[in-house]
Amino acid sequence: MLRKVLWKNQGLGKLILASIGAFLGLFLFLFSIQFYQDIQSLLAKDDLFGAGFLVINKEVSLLNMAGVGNTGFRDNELEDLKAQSYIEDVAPFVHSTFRTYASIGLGGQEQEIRTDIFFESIPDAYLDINAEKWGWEGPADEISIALPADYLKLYNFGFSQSYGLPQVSSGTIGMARLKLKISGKGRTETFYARIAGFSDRINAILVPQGFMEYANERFGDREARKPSRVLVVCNDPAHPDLEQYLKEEGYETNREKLKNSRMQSVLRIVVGVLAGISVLIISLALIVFTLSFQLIITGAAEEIQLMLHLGTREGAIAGYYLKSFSLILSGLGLGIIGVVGYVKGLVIDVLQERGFEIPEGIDAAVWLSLMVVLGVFMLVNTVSIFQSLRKLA
Amino acid sequence: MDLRLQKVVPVPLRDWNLSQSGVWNQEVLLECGKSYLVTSPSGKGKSTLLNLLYGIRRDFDGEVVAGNRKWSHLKRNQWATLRQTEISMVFQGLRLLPQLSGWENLRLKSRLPLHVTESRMREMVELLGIVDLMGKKCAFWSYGQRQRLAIIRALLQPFHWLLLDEPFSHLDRDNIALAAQLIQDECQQRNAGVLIASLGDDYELKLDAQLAL
Repeated sequence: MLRKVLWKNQGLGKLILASIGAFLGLFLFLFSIQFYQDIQSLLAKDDLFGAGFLVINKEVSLLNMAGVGNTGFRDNELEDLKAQSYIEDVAPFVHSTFRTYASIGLGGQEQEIRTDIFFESIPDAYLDINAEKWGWEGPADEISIALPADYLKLYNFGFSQSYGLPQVSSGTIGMARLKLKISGKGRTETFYARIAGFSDRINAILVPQGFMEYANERFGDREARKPSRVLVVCNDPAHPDLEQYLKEEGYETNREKLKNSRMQSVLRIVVGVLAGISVLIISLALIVFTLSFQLIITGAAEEIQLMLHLGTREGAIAGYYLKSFSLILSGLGLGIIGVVGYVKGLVIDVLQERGFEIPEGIDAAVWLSLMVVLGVFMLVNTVSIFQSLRKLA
Repeated sequence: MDLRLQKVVPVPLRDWNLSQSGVWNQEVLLECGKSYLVTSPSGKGKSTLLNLLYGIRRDFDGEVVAGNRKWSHLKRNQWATLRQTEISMVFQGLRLLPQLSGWENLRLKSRLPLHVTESRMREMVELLGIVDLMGKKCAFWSYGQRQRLAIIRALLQPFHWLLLDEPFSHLDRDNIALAAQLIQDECQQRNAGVLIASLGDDYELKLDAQLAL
């Protein structure tokens, strides 16, 4: 009966319009947040380095090969790098000055991969592996190492196929142990290495800095050369001057990485614009909602006034409208989460076909944003409804 | 709950000569349990007085006092409580909703605290002879029929004061007698006071005093 009195079937068209607007706006808004989070997770995934890390080296030229120049970084070059505004820190790679012979047993020790290898190290703090898995406290004979992700691919899609061996995931390889024979200064000792992780971005076999210092001291035969690779920590890897600077100095870097950073900033802009537009649509929807309820209340002014004069509390009448509004909002919220979930499912399928993995489910940031937007809708309309009612009292 | 009018003057009557008035700009005590007839030619503020006591009009000088409550200080929710349990009114123009049936119009009121039972409500409807109409929309009722419904609506709730604004204007003698009797019974039962505005007729009600505006 209250519907006949307080609603009078007016404003329905406007409410539907506002609902559609809110739906589109919210969908766009939440989907851009979800999309952004997914792409972020895709870009950051499986890498030991944060977004701001670059590894640079000098180009190897004929002169280097003839022994005239070399690719080591001189101290003044490192200073100059550090002086650039977009570069926060510079950490030269330390390389091993001893011989290492590694072997790993496969398929029940009958097969073994044996090879000469070398190590490099960077300060532990720049490696994104948690401290439990990384580090070395001498003089233990067990160390952790990190490998280029390509090594695992080389094994899984090449070696294991040729030799009829099982494929391994990056998870299970962590359980394997590499046997290392390190020799130099007339000694030979055996160490065991546990693979702590893989990196897409650095083509180096990394060991903890502490171990490197220890081993170079104990086994190092040769004088260490100038570092030929440098880890650069950028506060803005997409800075336009960065690429120019590297080119001028004749430094090489992982181009993909730079492209990635650039893609990320483009992505950020696109998502930002999308979010901006959707916020505009959401605001419009909010205005239409608020105006619709004001119109409905004005349209039922006589009835509301009568109810107030019969002794009905303002809160009871406002409560009636707010109940309807919260029903609309819950419907909207559920619908949007459903659609975002569905569209995300489609996106997952498309990405998976192309070999990308993104986490399933709806991101917490999306839920939070939805709650905040709906909360603001409810709050604004509550204030507006009470104001309209007060005018009638 | 006695009502005390302290030098009340409605804003529109400010500039009038009110020395002849028995109410405006006077100290008036309305004792609960008594019946008052408010008479005056039209346009002298009968409805204004009732609306002012009911809190619909707040544009007046002076003060209305009940116990320690002052009308000009009451908040909106206090008015709601007052109208739910202490003062009831039959409005000028009745203010029934035409799109609702008779029963629905009563139900709009019966969502609030009630004094009478459902069966007593039905009894009143039968007594005033509108039971057959109750299912129909009030838009189709005559003014006299609506007047009876408005009286019943005002009698559903608990009250100390009943304010009636020209309640019988469109009723015939027999119906006036029935309605007046019903009103008197209900007020007696609640020990409530009555303030009835009229052009001059006393409607065969037992009256304790007459207030000439």
